[in-house]
Amino acid sequence: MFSLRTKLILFMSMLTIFIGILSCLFFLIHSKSQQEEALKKLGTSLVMQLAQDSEVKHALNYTQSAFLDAPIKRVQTLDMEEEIGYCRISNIKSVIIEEKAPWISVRMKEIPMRHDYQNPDVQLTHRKITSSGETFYDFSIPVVEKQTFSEEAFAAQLLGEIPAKAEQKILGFVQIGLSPHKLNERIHRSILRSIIPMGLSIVLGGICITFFFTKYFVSPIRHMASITLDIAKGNLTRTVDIHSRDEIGQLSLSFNQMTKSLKASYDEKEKIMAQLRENVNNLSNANKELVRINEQLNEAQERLVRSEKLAVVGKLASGVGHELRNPLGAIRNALFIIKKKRGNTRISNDVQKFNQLVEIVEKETDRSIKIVNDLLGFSRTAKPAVSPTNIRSIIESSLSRLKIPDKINKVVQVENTLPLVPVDANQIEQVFINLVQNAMDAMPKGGWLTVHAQRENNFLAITITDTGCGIPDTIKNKIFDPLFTTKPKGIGLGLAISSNIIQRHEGSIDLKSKEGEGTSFIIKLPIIKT
Amino acid sequence: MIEKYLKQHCLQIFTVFWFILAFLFQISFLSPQIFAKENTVVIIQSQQIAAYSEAIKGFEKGCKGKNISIKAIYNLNGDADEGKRIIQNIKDNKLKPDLILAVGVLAATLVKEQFTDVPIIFCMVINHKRFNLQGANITGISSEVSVEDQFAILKELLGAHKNVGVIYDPMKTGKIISEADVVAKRLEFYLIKTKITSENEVASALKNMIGKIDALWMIPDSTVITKNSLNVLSKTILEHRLPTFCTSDAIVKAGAALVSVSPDYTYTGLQAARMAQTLLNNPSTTSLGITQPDKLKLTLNTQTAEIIGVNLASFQSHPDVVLYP
Repeated sequence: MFSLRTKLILFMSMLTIFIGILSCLFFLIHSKSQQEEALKKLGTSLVMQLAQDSEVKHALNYTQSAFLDAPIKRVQTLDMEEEIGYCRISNIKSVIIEEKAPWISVRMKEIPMRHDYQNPDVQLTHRKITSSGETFYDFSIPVVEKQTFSEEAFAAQLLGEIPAKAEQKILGFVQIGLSPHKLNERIHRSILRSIIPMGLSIVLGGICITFFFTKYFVSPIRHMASITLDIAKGNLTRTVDIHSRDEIGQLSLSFNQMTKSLKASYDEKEKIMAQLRENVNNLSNANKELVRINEQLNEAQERLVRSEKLAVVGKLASGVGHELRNPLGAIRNALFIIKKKRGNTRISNDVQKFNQLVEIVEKETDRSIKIVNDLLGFSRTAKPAVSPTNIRSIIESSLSRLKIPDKINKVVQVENTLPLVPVDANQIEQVFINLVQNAMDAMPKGGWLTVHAQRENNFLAITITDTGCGIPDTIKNKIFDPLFTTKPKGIGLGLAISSNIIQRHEGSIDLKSKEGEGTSFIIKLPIIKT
Repeated sequence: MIEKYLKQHCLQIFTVFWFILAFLFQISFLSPQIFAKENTVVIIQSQQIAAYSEAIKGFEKGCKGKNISIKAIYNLNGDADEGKRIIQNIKDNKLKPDLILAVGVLAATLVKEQFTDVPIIFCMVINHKRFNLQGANITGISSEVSVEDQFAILKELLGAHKNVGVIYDPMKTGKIISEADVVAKRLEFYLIKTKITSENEVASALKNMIGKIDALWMIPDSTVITKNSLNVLSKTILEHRLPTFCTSDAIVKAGAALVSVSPDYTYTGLQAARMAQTLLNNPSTTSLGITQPDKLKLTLNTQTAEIIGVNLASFQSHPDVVLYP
């Protein structure tokens, strides 16, 4: 949720604030104790000065308050900050003088006198809080008649006795009360002028240092993060440009090495991938080539098979045709003579039946002759005798040779500007007859027969379309094979002969058919250049 | 100062001495009765304490039957101002004493300042070297016990090769310590010294020493030995069972130390009386110098020994042994 830098800044700031507060507290306590110590020293020195003053001793000896004016003034001059709240000097009999500062509201009665100086453990200083709530540092000391010679006191101690104190005569007491109001003022001043600025400078300085420190510390990491993102996106050329000798420097060095090796392996992978892609392309091309060659091979094989078939059929047809045509012609001639003679002579009752038979023989003989003619036509190998021919005339001649039933609507669409084509008019007419005959056979219940001729680049395209039963896909590739037929009385040579003729004209014949909708045969013939 | 004084009044002194000698020379032949004339001695004590009284008693005892009359005993009450007044009074008195016995440092220093023409014998002055108590008319009995004597006792008590701690103020007792360094080395003791400059440092100095030392040597140093520090020292010593030796029988009596070697105060008085006699009998001799006390006493605290766990059997047969409590 928070960035590393924010977390660091937050943590360090909290720590700095904590340290700042602790330092302030420490200095406050220290300053307070120092001020108190200074106050105690001042009080002690003032009270000692009074107690050792010979005039004070005189005043106490003779109970003369007049002698006290000068010593008290001397002490007051030493109290430059006006911290003396009250002063009391008394001898054994009575209080000689009692003075209090005008700004002190406490009554002197509230401040008890001390008489317990015989107790050696008694402290010189007392912190007093009066009933009116004012606080004083009370300093009391007895005024003794004489002073002890310190080396003698030491000697007495070492030699076993401390007689001096017992013999010291106490003349009276000096009591001074110092008010801590100046001390408090000084402490407040110190808080405002030193402690708070110090705390603030520690906190602000700490935060500033943390800010810059974290910037220095985190920015390389952030920089590396952005570079990592770039690298993740694929830009492997990025490197971290940090040259410090610390852990960050080591990290950046390792990072750069990692990026370098990553780039090397990425380049290697790309190289392999490119090679693979090239191989795949090559393979794909080779495959395509193979498929094409295979198709060519299949086609060639098919053509070879067909050629072989055609050759065999051609040979057969040639032989059979020659052998059969002559006898069939003789039979026909004979039948002609028989028929002629029958009209002149009345033979018997069976004449009707005889006629029927003769007609059958004639019809079948015609049919046989046609078959033989077809076979012979098919077997013909000679080149067509081409001459520039108007295709319209061939179409019309073909259609006129056939008896088209009325239930079939004939449409002929031939462009007027069609060029002449170099064809053998008889052979092409046979092709058209074959195709139109097939179309009529496909439409026993009637339909539309369309013949359409147009120029397509260097070819002339003639399309013969019917709306008949159509050719199933399974037999489409066999339709031009010789001896293949779907008709009960066909011998399967019409389309084979047509295809053969067109091929000899260096043209092409194609088939488009959909079962139940109809069939179109498209013949393309090369155009002669005029 | 004395030398300066001597130089300035050389002729007068010489004349006085000449007359005195001539007078003495004459009367020694003319009247033996004059010899029998009582010598007067004034005793000035710094303050009224038992130790000084013992010494004075010893002196009085020593003077009995020796034709020495103690004219007066003055007590300075430990007060320098009062002391000066008293001595001024003695000086103003027309009857000048033949000899003055100063007991204690205050008396000794004040008498030395005021009297240059009367033989002075001082005693019971602790660390007399610090107060420059030397002069043509000054004879003294040191109240110090030599460092060697003290370490000899310690060796007898604990054996050699011990770490001995000592706290001192170099301003006051630095000389004793430099002397002690040599003696300790000779007697095979290791002296562990801690310097202090005020009595407030005593407690911490002692605390730092505990664990490093086998015995504590308390030397007569007014910075180290004060009323407050004695309490601290006493407590710590007993708490850590630290054998402590010193030169103050009072400290041993109080239980703060185990053993002390100190002069016998009465005998010091007797020794002073003997010296007074010599001086008075030989008027030409005005000073006998400063001598060591003739007789020392060993003070032991059996209770402390029991707490610390030190066997004092061998010491009980010693002559001049005082046992407390």
